Amino acid sequence: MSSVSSLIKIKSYEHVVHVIRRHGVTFIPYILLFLILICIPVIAYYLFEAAFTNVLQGPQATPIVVLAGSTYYLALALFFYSFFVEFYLDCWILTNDRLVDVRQISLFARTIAEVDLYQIQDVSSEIKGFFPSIFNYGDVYLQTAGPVPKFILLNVPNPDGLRQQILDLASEDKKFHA
Amino acid sequence: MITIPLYVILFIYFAFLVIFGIFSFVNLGHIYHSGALTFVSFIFTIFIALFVIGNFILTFNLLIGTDWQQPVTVWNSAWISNTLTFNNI
Repeated sequence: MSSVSSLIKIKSYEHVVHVIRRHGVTFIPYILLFLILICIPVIAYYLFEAAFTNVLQGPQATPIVVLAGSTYYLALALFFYSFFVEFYLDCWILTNDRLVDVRQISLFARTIAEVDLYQIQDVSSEIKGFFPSIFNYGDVYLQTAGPVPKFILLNVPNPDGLRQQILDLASEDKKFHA
Repeated sequence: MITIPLYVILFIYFAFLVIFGIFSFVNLGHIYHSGALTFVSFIFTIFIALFVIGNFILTFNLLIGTDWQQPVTVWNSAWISNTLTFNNI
């Protein structure tokens, strides 16, 4: 299965309104870290060569250095990809009946929580900071009467619009649970 | 003095490649099974794949002509004894 239905079982009267992921801008620090970590071995190599000439060259040293470098870059790619997967698989599925919070904690840990929209008591949104104000992303807080009393949607795009959308869907859903 | 053939290090590298492959497939499986097959995840996966392929090509080219049978000294007691000798002071 390659749709959200593999994460949640969609009811017959239910349809997915929105799959919300964190704003892409919040991934930029990881990209910058990746670029810095790419440069480190190159800089280290030239500094070491300048300090200890020809130590890293020779029939024995060269293959070891190359394999070590290759291992480092492969590990870096793997960690970066894992960060991306954890980032991207953190999502919130908004349907006309409920809100599902899918949290990818690590590569081998995931939690899924959900709240029925009619149980939502209060929704508030917050845009705080320089970059969130410029790129229009922030947090949405949900107060519920369900078993999970508080839901937080972190760093989602257009939090004000999303808050309004959740409120509209919740008021629609309350009509069927009155 | 303890020496090992250079190809032992190559085997360690291959062992790492196996672990790398397993974790990469776990990541891909997560994306597939979580319904996250989107343009963004596709582009990101392609970028990582190109990075890894580039790494392999560069590694292969730099290691062409290496004599993997040559011995590598991993331990030599002279390293310690030389360090502890104060003749040069």
